[in-house]
Amino acid sequence: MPSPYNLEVEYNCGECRVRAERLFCNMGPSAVDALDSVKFTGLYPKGSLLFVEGEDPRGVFILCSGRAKLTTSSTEGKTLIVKIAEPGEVLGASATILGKPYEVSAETIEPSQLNFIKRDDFLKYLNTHAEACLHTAQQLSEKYHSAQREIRSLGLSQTTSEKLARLLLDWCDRGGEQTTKGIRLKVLLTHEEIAQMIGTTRETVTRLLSDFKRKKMIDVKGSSMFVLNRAQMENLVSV
Amino acid sequence: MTTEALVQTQRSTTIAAELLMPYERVEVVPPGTVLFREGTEPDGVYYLHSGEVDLRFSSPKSGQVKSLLLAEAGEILGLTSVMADRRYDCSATTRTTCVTGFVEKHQFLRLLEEKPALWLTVLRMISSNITACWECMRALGTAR
Repeated sequence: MPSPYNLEVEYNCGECRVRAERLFCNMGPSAVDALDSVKFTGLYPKGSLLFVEGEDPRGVFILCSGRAKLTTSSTEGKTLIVKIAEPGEVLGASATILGKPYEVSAETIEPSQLNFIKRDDFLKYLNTHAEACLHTAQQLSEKYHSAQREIRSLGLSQTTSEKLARLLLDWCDRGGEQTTKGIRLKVLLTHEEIAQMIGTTRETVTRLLSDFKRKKMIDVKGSSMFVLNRAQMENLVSV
Repeated sequence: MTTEALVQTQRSTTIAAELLMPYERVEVVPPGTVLFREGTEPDGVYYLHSGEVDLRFSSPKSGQVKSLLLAEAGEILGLTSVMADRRYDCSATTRTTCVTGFVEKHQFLRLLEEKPALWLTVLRMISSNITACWECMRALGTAR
């Protein structure tokens, strides 16, 4: 059946075929039925702003498919991407639980399916389903460790090329596909967005990637990047 | 922080202290004591009754050490490692004389099953840690 943005839409969490693979959603029938009763399914094109840093928390978004970037901005207007959220992640949970404004903004970078749960409903859901609390705590803990990893990279890297190498190695570990040519990465981010992930400028990222290519550390074909010499890249990293 | 959020935080801290009390091993710890080390398996959580604890991480290659967060009274340390079942990714060292209450991992997890009231406290504490990390990232990543 045709669907908006060619997404494979799943309206019923109980029938979701990938639920067992998802950290938050992989719960027993009672918790999943309750989740189904409070969530609203939405389909979003690329570039949709889900919530904005500083906005009062309206609730949480469960990312069923697609990806979203979480960003924060300095008072000077400089933007930093703190995380690229993957399917299965719950967005806006910490602000919703604390009752404090969203600490980051969330914007889809691919067409996405998201299930929204209003704040009051989410808090009631947590109060009545200990299993959902466990899964939310695990999800939040993973987010915390991911933030720590980024802080480590930002805080300990001596140079921008080291930060970029660290980011590419991280992508290799988390989604790289080993091929005969090297480790293949699907890069859907622009140079501007990569720059926002490591706290530098678009021009620097473009220059460094050209530099990596010249040194035969990477090769780029369309949206695919091949890490040709992982060992050489690891030598750049002191973290 | 809004008044509602502040009240909730204080209430959460009180609930945590009351629920953990029967299970904790209370100790007075001098400044400079390492409660846990980065890279080790989490054996439990530390409820910080009083004092301040530095959370730091280091580079295995260069040995360079950086401060991550400063934990204060009312916080539970080691929580995210126990919940995510992964090694501590920072070290915790007391900055001042501290009173800590250690609860073993299996006891803490059992307590969560038996006392659901503790859940919201746990979620609030982890959420606060994430907020602090993102603030730290903003400061580091947008500084130049």
